[in-house]
Amino acid sequence: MTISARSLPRVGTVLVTSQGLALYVFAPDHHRAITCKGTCLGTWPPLMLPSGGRLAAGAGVDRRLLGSDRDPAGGRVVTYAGWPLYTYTGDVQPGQATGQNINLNGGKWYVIRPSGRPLIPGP
Amino acid sequence: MLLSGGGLVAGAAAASAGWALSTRPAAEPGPAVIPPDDDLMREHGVLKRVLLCYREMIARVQAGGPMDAQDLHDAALIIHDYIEGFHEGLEEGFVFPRLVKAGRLVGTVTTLLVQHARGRVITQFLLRGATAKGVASPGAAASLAAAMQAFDRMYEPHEAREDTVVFPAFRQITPAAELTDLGQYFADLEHQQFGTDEFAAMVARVASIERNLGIYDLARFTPQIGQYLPPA
Repeated sequence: MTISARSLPRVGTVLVTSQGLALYVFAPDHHRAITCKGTCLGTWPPLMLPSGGRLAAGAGVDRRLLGSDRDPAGGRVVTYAGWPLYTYTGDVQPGQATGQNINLNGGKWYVIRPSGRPLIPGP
Repeated sequence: MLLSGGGLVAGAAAASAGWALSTRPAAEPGPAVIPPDDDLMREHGVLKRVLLCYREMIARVQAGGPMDAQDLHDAALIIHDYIEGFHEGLEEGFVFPRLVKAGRLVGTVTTLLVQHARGRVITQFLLRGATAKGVASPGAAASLAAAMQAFDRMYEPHEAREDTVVFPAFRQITPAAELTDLGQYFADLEHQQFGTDEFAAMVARVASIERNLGIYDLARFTPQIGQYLPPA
């Protein structure tokens, strides 16, 4: 599984999946554990590491920031700079980031820069 | 985790014992598991009532009247918490993926997902604007009314298509035992997220907004029909 960096409209360069789908972090995860549960998982599917799968860093991505964390529901979720990564069901094709700065399921959702910083808009 | 098959076993036991039911006293009615598609449709009823509240607020603004920030906030919050933060998660997690996997209604599902995402953006716009200051100027109120109008226009056909096409297709491709388990799982998730009697609580919340807007009384919507009567 390869995590890449790609420039998307409105948000600039952010992490994407192998399929080009934008990756998001959930503010309540606080840089650590997956807290999106129940119906939240329907809207924001976590990026799961396939059993026996290996993580690879695409161009612009820092391999040292890639990791995985145990998902309480089973399996392992891919992390970046400690943030569990999710996709968004509202992004129906590669190159979209329609979930950026949305407040849903108990907190804010942000795309994440290759530096490991979520894209949090200014006040 | 989810599809333990317990529902199937219970169903078979009930069927095999069916012969004895007529000879025994009627059992006390217990809490029945609502089928998942029925559950989603009654949640659509809450959505529809909020859409009607929006419609009333739009009409008032268009007539030059004021907009009540609290009513708008309360209505948009039901959409945000219950419809977008719960109901749509059920559809996105359990209904749409099954249809896509079965190759059914794939284009429709894509459109519904896009509409969920657009609706969430509109709702957040409404919640940001639902303040005393936010509705004070006619221009701001008109902008909020336009957003509500766009939301209503999208969700009326959206929920109608789901009720008449998407959910029946979902029921058609899902085995009966799995439907039973999903119904229970939906109920468990709703209980975890909102506590007991959550549906009644949501209905009470929307009814309260309707009362504030003067649209709670169902009889208010019954038309006079003198002009439509056939010749005596």
